[in-house]
Amino acid sequence: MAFEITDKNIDFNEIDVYLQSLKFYTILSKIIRNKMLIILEETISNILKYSFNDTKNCFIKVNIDIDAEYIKIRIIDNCMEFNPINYENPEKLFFAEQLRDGGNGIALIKCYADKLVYNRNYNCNIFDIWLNYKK
Amino acid sequence: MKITKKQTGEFLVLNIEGKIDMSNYVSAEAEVVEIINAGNKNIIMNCQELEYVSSAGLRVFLTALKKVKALGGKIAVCHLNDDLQEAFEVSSFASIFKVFPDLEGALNS
Repeated sequence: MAFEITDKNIDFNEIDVYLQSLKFYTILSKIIRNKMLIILEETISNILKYSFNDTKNCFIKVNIDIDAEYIKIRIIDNCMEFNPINYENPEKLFFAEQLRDGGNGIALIKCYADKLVYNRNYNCNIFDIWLNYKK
Repeated sequence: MKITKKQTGEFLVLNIEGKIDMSNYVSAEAEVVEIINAGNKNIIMNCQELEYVSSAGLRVFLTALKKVKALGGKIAVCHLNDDLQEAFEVSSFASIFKVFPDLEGALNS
């Protein structure tokens, strides 16, 4: 079952509702559920913040599949080209004054995912995120 | 998300429950700022009942840290679960916040 966003002003609680509607949701651990939620929230909020344009019929589509080992999340959007894999993690910081509130979302995605693949096809960003739910 | 307060010695302990994410971080941040602005400059953020924090939620911690530091106060965090600990490591928060495994350790900081 797919989840689609066409409006910038989404209610982020809908992502959790979508996850809970997945047939395999109940077999997943709380840790995996939280990681899925964070990955979706961070990816979608980044797209909405940096490349989504209400006036250009933008969409974001999320599809999630499962196999014997992995949760496979595919996020497709027709917004401006953006490869999150190329985004550098914030450098290690040691002073409060250096802390910033940007960049942590993508760093979290990279930390939680077991495999990330990005492609740009037919003017769409296609971001595949694999999560091992067996380990 | 729910925040309850308890004054313990020199610290105001904020017991944070539930989740802080894109859907509620603005109100969570406003609540924490209001508490600090009321003159509470020594804060412990007790995360024992906090289940989920996204990067939006991390901003609430960052705002609290900056506010408290500006007032010359102290801030500590305790009871991070594994996910939260990981988020703190990834974001460098772990090297800047005083993080304690339990409330007792934080109160003695």
